[in-house]
Order: sequence, then structure tokens, then C-alpha cells
Amino acid sequence: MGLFERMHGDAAEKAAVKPSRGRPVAFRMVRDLDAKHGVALLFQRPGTNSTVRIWSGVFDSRAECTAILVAAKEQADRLEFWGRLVLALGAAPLDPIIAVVACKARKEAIEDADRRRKKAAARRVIHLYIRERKGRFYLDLERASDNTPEWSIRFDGRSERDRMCDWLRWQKQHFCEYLAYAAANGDHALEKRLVDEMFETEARLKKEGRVAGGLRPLRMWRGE
Amino acid sequence: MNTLPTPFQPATPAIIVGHSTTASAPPLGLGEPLTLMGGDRLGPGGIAFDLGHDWQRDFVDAVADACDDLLAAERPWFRMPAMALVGRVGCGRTHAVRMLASAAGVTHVILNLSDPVIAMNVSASGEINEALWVSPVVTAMAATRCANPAVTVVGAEYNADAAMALVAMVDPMLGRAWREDRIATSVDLGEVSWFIQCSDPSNLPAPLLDRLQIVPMRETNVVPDTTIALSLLVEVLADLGIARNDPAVVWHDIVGRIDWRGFTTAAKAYADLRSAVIQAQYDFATRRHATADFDPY
Repeated sequence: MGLFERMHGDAAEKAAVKPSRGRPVAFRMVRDLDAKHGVALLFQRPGTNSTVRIWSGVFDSRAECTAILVAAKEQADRLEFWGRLVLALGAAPLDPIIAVVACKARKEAIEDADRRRKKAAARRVIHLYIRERKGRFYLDLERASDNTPEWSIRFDGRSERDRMCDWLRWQKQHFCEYLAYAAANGDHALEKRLVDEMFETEARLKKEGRVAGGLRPLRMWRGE
Repeated sequence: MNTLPTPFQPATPAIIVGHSTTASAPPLGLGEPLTLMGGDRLGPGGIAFDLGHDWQRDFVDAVADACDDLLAAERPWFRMPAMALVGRVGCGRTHAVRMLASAAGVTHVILNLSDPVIAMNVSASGEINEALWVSPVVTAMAATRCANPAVTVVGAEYNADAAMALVAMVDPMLGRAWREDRIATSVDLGEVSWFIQCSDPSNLPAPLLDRLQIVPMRETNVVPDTTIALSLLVEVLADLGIARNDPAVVWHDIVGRIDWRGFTTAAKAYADLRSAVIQAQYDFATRRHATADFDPY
């Protein structure tokens, strides 16, 4: 370690003993209540009580104002630079800098809305999955927006699961309604309802002579 | 009713710094009072705030401490204890002192001990050095009528003789009677703020180092849209004599002309900003020339 590094080390030790002076807060970015969507940069010289508005801007939306306030708050160095830039070169150079923040916020808002729209659309899409977990056989109803099943029914035997699947795979248009029913009445109530509807369908089709034999009477069925 | 006479207090403090060692009056007007500046800026919103320099916290803290001490001592002018600014070349030591002098409203002087003529003037008697009449510090004090300039000393670690002689200037007691032999005058340098640059304090002679407060100066990567870049631009504009509201000075334009890739020291950023400002001035003048109406009739 060279002497230069040792000097810095000593300074760091000294700083640990004697805390560094706090940086006076001279600049504040606040909402400008005189405008609809306005923000203002205030300057208060340390040691004085007078506050001066050194910059202000009006934007298209409240979200842009919030983004500017957040950008000013999350990094004290950035606000310090903005304030000193205005003090040194005037208010004009700050306009394009803030415009970049506002533009970024506008873009993020658009992207966020798009993301939310896509997620909502994905939430409306429900898939039926055939799965095996720990030797048990499941039918899962899972939304496209999630990676976990929202509702599942468990069977001890593969053939039972497949029998149910033969019927349930043709009920895709009712999946949303099923999940709403499960949310309202519980998972077990939905299980009972689906099993009843399956038996009812099987009985009706048997009467019509449209079922196959064996453990999976609806294996040849292709829906109504 | 008898009242105690109020002692005369000038609005701006001043001292006579030159005292002739002969019967004649000191030259350069050194026998007249010189102003002690910066007293109105010692508060928390004054020099320490205007200096900025948040990237050099040790330096700013030293300045704030000195201002507090001066206020506590009721000495209404700017003066700092002699300091060794320890940092690598190009880290912004000169810039820091120049901005400090600007914030305090005092004169900034560079005493370059790498220059053999100046080094001889400092280290040897005037009788054997005929190359320089008076030291740059005293010349600057006389020219600007400022009794408390900020002096940046460069090259002290490369010239041991001059660095040893510097002890007599820097020392709070000895500096009160600095002999300028060529003009037969004793000059009071007691209110001068000394900033001696070095990259390694061990290169300075021990007697000098004992009189210095060591302030580490950090090497910072200068990037656009930071206070350090802004501070350097302000210095560039002052050096070029360009007003800050000059229409050719557009922050984005100037910053956009510089290649900020890689580690940019303060010295490099200063040089780049200077080139960018000159180029921006040239482009602005060219545009104005191209659009000017030369035939008003």
C-alpha cells in the first residue's frame, strides 16, 4: 500500500471518528400548485429563510410530474446538479433534461398500460393441464398469466383422470365460469359440479348411443 | 453625557502588508492598505455552499471548518490554514482552489516552483537573484489590492530548496515578515491561504509538512450531467471570458461534443470542455455569419 492510499485510509479513519458535515439541503423539487400538472424547483440558500423558485415546468400528466419528483428525490446528486445548473447557466438548460425524465415517464406509462392489458388478456385465457405429482393424477386449470394452477382435481387412478379429461377438454368455453364458481363456492364445490355434469353428459350420450365402451366412455366424443 | 468613543471600523477590513526596510516608502503601493476579502461570505450559505465540490468532501469540510473558525474568532475575512492537497495529477486540485478563490472573492495566484526563476526567487536572497524582481504572490497582491489571496503552489515536491524556503512564507509567524530583498520591503503574508499540491506528502520536506494540514483529494471520473462537469464548465467560461448566458453556451451542445468514454480526469474534462466551448463559439459565429443579411438596401 502506497502512501497515497494510506493518506486516504487515514482520512477515512478520521472521517469515522469525526463525522463528515451534513450536506445542506438547498434545492427542493415540489409540485407547483399554480399549474395543473406543474413542478417547481425551489432554492433556499443555507443559513437563510427565504425560498426562491428558480425553475418551473408544466407537463401533460400527473404521472410525469410524479416521475420528476421521484427522480429528484431518489438521487440527491441529481437534484443538486439540476439546482446548480440553473444557478450557473439559467433555467433554460434544465428544460431538456427534465423533458427527458418526463418523456421516459410517458414511455413507461404507455409500456405499463400495454403490459397490464396483455396480462389481463392472458388472465382471460385458461388452459387445462394433465399432470402427475407424487404418484397422483391431476387435472389443472391454469391461467396463462400464472405458472401455478388456480384449480385442480386429484385422482388416484390414471383412467379416472382420463375419463374426466375426455369430458372436460371440450368445456373450454366454460373454464372462466368454472374458476369464478370455484372462487365463489370453493374448490370442492366445483369438483362436485364438474363430476355431476360429466355423469349427466355420459348418461345422456349413453341414451343416445354415442358413447364408447370401457373405462373412458367419452374418449370418442368431440363435444356438443 | 460622556460616551465611549467607538473605534473606527472600515466596512471592508484592510491591512498594510508592506513595510519598507529603508527610509523610503514601499513600492507597488504596498504601503497602502490592501483589502481583506471574503468576510461577507463566511456563513453556511456562503463560501462552502458556492464552492460546491461535493465530490471532494474532505476539501469542502476543511473550508467549512475554516469559515466557522473565522466567524468564531470574529475575523471577517477569508483565510485558511496552509494545506497540502494530496492527490494524483489531474484530479482537480487547482480547479478546487480556483473555485474556492472565486467563491470567496479573493485573488487566486499560482506559485510554480517548477519554474527555476520563481524557485530561485523564493529560495534565494534577492541580492543573488536578478531574474525576478518580486515574487508572483506579492506582485498579485499589489496588482489586485487583495491582502488575502489563495495561492496554489505547484512543483514543491520536485524542488527541495524552494520547498524549504516556502516554510518561511507558509509559517503563520515567519510569513508575517517575508523579505522581498529586491524592493527592500517586508511583506505580511500572514493572511494568505496556501494550498501546496503534491501527489505524495513524503516528497515534501518535514519542516514544511509539519506546517500543513493534509487534505486528500479524490480522483473522480467526470461524467456529463454532474456537478463536477458543471463546475469545470464554469471555470472554462471564466477563463475564456465568456458570459454564462452567452447564446453559444448551450449545456447539451457542449457536453455532446465531448467523448466521455473511459476514465475522464478533471484535467482532461477541463481541456475537453475548453475545446468544446471554443468550437461551439466558432460554430455559432459561422451560423450567424451565414444567415446575416449583408445587403440591408
